[in-house]
Amino acid sequence: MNTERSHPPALAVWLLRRFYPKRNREAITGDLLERFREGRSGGWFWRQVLAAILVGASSELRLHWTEICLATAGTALIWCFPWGRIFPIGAMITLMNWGARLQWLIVIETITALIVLPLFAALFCLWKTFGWANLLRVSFICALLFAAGDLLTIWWNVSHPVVGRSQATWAIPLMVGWIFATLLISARFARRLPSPAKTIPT
Amino acid sequence: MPGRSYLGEFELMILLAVIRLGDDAYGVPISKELLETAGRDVALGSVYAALDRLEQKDLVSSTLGDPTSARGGRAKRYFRVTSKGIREAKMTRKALISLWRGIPQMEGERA
Repeated sequence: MNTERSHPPALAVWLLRRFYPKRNREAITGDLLERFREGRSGGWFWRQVLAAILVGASSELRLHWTEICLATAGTALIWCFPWGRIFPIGAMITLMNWGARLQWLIVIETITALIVLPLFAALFCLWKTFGWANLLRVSFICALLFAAGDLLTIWWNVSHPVVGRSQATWAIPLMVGWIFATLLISARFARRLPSPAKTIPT
Repeated sequence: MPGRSYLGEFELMILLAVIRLGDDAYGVPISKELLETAGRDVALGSVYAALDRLEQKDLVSSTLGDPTSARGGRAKRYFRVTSKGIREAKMTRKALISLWRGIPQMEGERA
């Protein structure tokens, strides 16, 4: 066993430990390491890690579908609501240049997301599934959807005269960074949250 | 039949692999068993996803083994079939054989 064989791609292991669901994380990391040390390639390791993260994410989607539906509906509501008519700042931001507008968008969306949280909490109570963990998950999904939506908006506006390419060049990496940071924070918090899945004694 | 959880093709294959492996059923041997016996090269992530579904249906149970240095100090998760799992596998087999028998093109072939 040489040194290279002992050490699988560090970034792949890091991604697996951050983004694979908690329950089988240790077992699958050990299994992949075992196969890698039997002679599998780095490329094979990467493929397995990416497949595991995708499969794990789809399992999580199935497990938390109520929170995802709720977050999607809530995000759409916040997105489509005429906030500009209620808050003058909402109308003002459309007059700003994109550099200032983006920061205000983030602030406004965060505030409106906080306003809608009680609505989410009420719906959870109505379904008798209220829990702070559920509410946090919905907030994270909302933040992700907002970030993705903002990214699409910026992408769309690049082809229009309202946004200069020079402004978009820094805005797009910023939004991608925001999405990645939200994912990272979500994964970190999700590890501390109790899972609604049945816990099986080991 | 109320309360019965039906098995998908992949879940059935995983369940049979767990039964075949007995006390040594964890991720690596299960994926090797699928490759050697059924010719299916599957990702370990898919194996664990199917095992989770089987565990939620009470068809298998799992226990954590001791961490070993060969696995970078990570423990194995061992799976074992439950009595409900055995019963479900038998019922699925019976149903498949019945369906197989009714097809004229398959006459003379073993299920």
